[in-house]
Amino acid sequence: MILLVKYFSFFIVIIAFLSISACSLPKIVVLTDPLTAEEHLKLGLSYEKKGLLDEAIRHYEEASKTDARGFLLIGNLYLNQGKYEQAEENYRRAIKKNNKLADAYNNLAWLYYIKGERLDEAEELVRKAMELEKGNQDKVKIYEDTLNKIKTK
Amino acid sequence: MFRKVLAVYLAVAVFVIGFVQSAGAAFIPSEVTMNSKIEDIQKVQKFLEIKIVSQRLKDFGYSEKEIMDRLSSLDEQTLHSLALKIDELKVGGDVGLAIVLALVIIALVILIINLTGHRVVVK
Repeated sequence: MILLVKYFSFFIVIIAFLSISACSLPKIVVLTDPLTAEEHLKLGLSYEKKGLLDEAIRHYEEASKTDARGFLLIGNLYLNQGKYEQAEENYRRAIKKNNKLADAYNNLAWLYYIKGERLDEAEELVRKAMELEKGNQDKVKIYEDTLNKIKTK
Repeated sequence: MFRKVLAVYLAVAVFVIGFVQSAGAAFIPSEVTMNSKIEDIQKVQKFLEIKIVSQRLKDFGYSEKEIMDRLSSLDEQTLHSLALKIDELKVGGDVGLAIVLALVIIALVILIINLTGHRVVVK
């Protein structure tokens, strides 16, 4: 009988423990990202244009996990702020992730042109951009402009 | 005289506009890379914010109907603020609190088991 009472109280304790756990312990929630990389980039760009730069960077970073343009857009944001080191780092990351992203080559070359340094490398970069986009005359025109400016510096 | 002034003004304006355009043309802005107009991108902002907020509500266990009810009651500004802050919300508390709570409960259980005459040992 005494043994039965002991086991009964043990059973009560377990039930109480489970009840308390269910009530007071926080739930673990698995969060799902509802946006595609393209959508993160668009939302980030919209925020950037409204001056919400931290939020913009957060979305660009999220996009950059699968899309190199995320790094490119972070680079552009920093370039517009005059933060050249961060811009350069992100352009390089963009090229590393996608070596066919012509705009990243052009903008990195443009950054070197603005800083007035590594102009030989800048010329190589912009030539690479022109080669990658040789079928797109609108882009090639802009890249040629970059190249001409670098040559006359 | 007026014609002369106008001609000079136009010449200067054309030169300045041409210079400004060419100075900025060698940098590819983000909207060009994205192949979208800024106005179009800003139009999809609300749609994307709705997607974010509804997914979070779904993650937290709300039904489709509850999500629709809540979203329909939000104005654009509130939706925008919510979309910006939603990942900072700690609905169920943080991990540290969860660990402390779990340890306290385990200690209490062990104490109660000992008080009821049983022994807890770690093998």
